[in-house]
Amino acid sequence: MSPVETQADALKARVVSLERQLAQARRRIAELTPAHVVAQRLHASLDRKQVILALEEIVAGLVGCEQLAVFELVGAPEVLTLVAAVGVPGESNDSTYPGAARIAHGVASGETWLAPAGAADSGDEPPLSACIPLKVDGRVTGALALYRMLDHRGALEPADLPLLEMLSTHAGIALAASRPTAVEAAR
Amino acid sequence: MKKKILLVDDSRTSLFMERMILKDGPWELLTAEDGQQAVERALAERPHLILMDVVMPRMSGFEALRELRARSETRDTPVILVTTRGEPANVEEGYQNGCSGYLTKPIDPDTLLASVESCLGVVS
Repeated sequence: MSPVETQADALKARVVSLERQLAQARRRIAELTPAHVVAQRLHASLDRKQVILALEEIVAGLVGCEQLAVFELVGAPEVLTLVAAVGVPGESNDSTYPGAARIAHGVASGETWLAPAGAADSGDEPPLSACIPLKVDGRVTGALALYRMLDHRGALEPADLPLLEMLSTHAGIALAASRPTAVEAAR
Repeated sequence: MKKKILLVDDSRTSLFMERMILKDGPWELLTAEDGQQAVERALAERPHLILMDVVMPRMSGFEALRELRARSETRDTPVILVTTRGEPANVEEGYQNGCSGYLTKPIDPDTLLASVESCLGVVS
């Protein structure tokens, strides 16, 4: 093999290596972009309405669900209270809310729950797709319930957990930070 | 001169996401927050590509698309619809109204970038 051919082979190998690195970098950017968007949008305002709107947009545009409910632990002793609902009934009675038992369990356990693949849709009420506990400093402060996913999106799966875990913390902190404006608005 | 891409969405989150995905490309990004504003900006700025949501206040993406196709200045501007509305009837309506592509949310960064590069003839 001539020196030129040897050099050409080395360059080809280098190109292959660089293409692999580029693909890895692109995958990493694709993973990190939603995370950056979540953090930027949820912490852009202390106004409760803006935080809820950002959460609604994130759940629709990044997760693929247009039916959600947000609960917070309020009072002493703490009671799980519905604070926002999008695409599902806006009733405040959390004990009769669709998926109430699962949501209460999620708040108690502090663990994100995903509906099992192929879970039946009874049709009577919106099916719960996920329950994400909201946390501040590791303490559960409420829950985000996701109901029927967009048809083309399909069910949530373990690969979605990193994004949902990020929502757990950032939404929890953003909602806690916006609580004074919510209290003010309720007066 | 950089090619212009007009991003149209009433969701600030979606606009932010699209900007994040496209910000390092060889193009200039413009934004509009509803269909009516999209038509006005398209006529004023003559973008090379429009990425547009469907469900928006004042004027929907479908209505804006019809308006753009009816005007000689924007008749041939590629429009990719980017929406949560993935039902076959909506996809069909999008293509009937003259869209060049139809992407569903949640946005996949690779797919969005590839669609933009394909429309603008950019080799990555």
